[in-house]
Amino acid sequence: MNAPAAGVRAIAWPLLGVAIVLGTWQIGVMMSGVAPYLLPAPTAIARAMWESRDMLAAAMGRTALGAAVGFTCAAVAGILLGSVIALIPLLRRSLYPLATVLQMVPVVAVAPLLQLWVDNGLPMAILSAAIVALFPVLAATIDGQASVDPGLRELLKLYGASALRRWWKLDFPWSVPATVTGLRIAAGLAVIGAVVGEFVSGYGGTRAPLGIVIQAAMRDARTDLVFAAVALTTVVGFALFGAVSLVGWLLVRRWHASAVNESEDRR
Amino acid sequence: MTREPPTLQFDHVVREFAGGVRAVDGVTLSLAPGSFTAVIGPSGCGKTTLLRLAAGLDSTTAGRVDAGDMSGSRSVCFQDPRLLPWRRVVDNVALPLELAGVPRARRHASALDVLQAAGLAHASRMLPSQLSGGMRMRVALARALVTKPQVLLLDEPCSAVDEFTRMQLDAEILRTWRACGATTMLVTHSVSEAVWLADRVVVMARGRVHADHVVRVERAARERGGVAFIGEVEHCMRLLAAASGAASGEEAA
Amino acid sequence: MWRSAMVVAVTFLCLHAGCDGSKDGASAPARTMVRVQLNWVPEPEFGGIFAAQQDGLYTAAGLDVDIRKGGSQVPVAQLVASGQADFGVMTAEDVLTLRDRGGDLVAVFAIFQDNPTGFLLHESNPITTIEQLWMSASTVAVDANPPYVRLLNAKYGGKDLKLVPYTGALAGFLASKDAVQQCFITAEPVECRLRGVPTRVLSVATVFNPYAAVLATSAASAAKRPEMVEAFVRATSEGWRRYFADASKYNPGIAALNPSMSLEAMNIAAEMERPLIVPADGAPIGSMRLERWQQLERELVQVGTIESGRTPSAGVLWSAPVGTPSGATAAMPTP
Repeated sequence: MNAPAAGVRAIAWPLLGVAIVLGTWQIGVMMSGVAPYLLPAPTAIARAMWESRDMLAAAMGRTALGAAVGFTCAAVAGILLGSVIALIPLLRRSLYPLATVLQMVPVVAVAPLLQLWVDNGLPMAILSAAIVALFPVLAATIDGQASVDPGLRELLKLYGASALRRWWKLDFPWSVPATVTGLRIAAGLAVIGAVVGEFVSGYGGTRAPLGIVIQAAMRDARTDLVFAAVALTTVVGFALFGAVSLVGWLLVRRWHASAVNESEDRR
Repeated sequence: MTREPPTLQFDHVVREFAGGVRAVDGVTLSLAPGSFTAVIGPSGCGKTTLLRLAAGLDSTTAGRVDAGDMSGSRSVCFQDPRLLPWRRVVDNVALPLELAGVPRARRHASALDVLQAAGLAHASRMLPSQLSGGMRMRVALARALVTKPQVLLLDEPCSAVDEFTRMQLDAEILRTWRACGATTMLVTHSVSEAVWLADRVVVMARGRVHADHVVRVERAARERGGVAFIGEVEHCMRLLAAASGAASGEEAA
Repeated sequence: MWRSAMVVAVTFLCLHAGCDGSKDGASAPARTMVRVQLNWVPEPEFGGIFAAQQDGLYTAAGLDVDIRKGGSQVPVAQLVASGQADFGVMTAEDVLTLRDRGGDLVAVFAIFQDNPTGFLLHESNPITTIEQLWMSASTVAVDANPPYVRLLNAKYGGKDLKLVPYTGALAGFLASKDAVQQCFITAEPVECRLRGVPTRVLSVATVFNPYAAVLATSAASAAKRPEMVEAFVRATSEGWRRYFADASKYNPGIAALNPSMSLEAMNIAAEMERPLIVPADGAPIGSMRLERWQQLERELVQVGTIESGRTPSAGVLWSAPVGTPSGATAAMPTP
């Protein structure tokens, strides 16, 4: 089987799946005569997307900006903080449990509080995206740096490397694949966080991000527009996830995947 | 300027672990400068622990290990190559020099030199994942050589490869030893490898030295299929069996 | 012996004759479950409903009423139209909008004749009219996309205005002297006054004045059980009459359900809302006129919520078989 055919096959099956789902949905709505404000047909959603394309595109851009900036903040903070915590065992014992608490608090409950300290609009979206995206990066970074091959650790100790140099030359590069995994998870979560932030304090009217578009459309009983906006939120999530995955793949493709395969060959 | 390699001295060395287990139970050995000593013995006899004590990776419970003045360097080769997977071969080989603060151009050149001598120059820009297991071990050996060590410690370097590659690696080890003239200690479970490479074979069991035998065949005459060579191997195997038997005899007693 | 057996048998038969097959064997018929969905937390704006429940008016009418509190995100209109609630409190524009989208709602009772919505500002804020507010660069917390906001945008522009979601929490407003938020004239300003925070209210009724809160139900279920709807409406109407006769009797019960509004504030609110709820022309509480629905329909077409040419106002008013909701008021049991 040659590569292009394999590529086509990889796309064809999921596309077929999507087509079947959409087709069933469309037929189901048409045959059951369900009210459009309860469940719109895919064609109605597509039409709403087309008719409001300018507004939706602008809203999508705003949500994407909030999610991307929030994600970047969380990524930087998570990697820095995670590295510091991994380097100092005392910190790991005391701070890591606190970080888990951070994950447990639902951002939906905390968002109204955040509003008191942060400006409305984009800053809120960025903050809640960052809060939601932080923990996966933090945890993945710490775990990655804590699971360094002990043989390599020993080797560097043997060469007289200080703890800091060991960290920079061994622990940190070693943890990149694990951190990338955490970053990919964080990317999807960042979009959710941004939308929650928007629910609580996004700008209405002409400055609306997708979260507000969803709320306003719900209020207006424009369920087709709600679906359209939700679908675009998913697109933003995929885009961010895809971008992060691509960067991650570029960083580790030469040595990580093949390293995994190589250890399998040796057995 | 070359310095004299040191004597590697073990002085009533004891290494006791939690629970009272004595991996090394009073070993006194003196490895002559520049000599090649093989330590063999059944699993659990303490040979690896002894090597790790010599490497400075572990500290004695009692007794002393003396590896000469610390100005010379010690190089260790482990069972697994331990290469940093994201670095190219040349950067892996240069790692010890890098950690010692040698400037980039100089350490790069030194690394290429040892790779050249090992016949691995063509692989210098490859990643470890692109090499076979045997080649990776050779890279690890080259790395051990790049610091021009005075003490060379080899912990079963060939146990993870097949027989043919083992022989190739043995030739490489011999070349390495000749190139740096270090006081060398090889831990192995292959008696034929020990006889082929070493001047002296030490047999350990249960943390103690049971036999200490100088190899009587000239290096030039060591052919793996040769009569004299096989005779030496058989002699050492008898020593090994005796040591193991004595050890289990002690257990039974 | 035979005579005593006969007495026993006859007595037995008489007792069972009165049973009608109901499970508990008592003489009262089984009550109908009715779910009422509010669009906010329990407050004096729902006073008549709570009064009716407290005095047992619903029970006497054969209804087992469950009042569910709402909030800013609860889609009351959709819940009622899809049958998950029997009655709901919603704005008139909610009713018309959903009817336009295919939901079958009918309005049965108007709570607010006039719009109690307004903009709440701190007294120190220099803005004194809605026009000024709309042309400023203030941050205003409002419901998601209500028609009055779009009417104001059409009238005054509002391009520098920043609209943010209205969550009902006063904390944000109290924290900033520049804050402006949507409010109910009877609620937030009263709370502020009681906390010693001076405020000013700009009433939205001058711009947009539909029936600000109505009780609606689904047309299908109303057609199926008109007696139930009629009984509910009549009990509710009497509940409102009693509430305004003596609100302090019912407010403690409401305050117990809503820890965020004090009893004192509720009593004041009840007084303030009376002129907005009791029709000025002497008509009974809850009555509606079609012309005002048609006016609302024109405004919704103007802001684009409804496409022009559609008339969801036709048929929006429900009429009971025994007459309008303001019709025959049968005697209600006094407590």
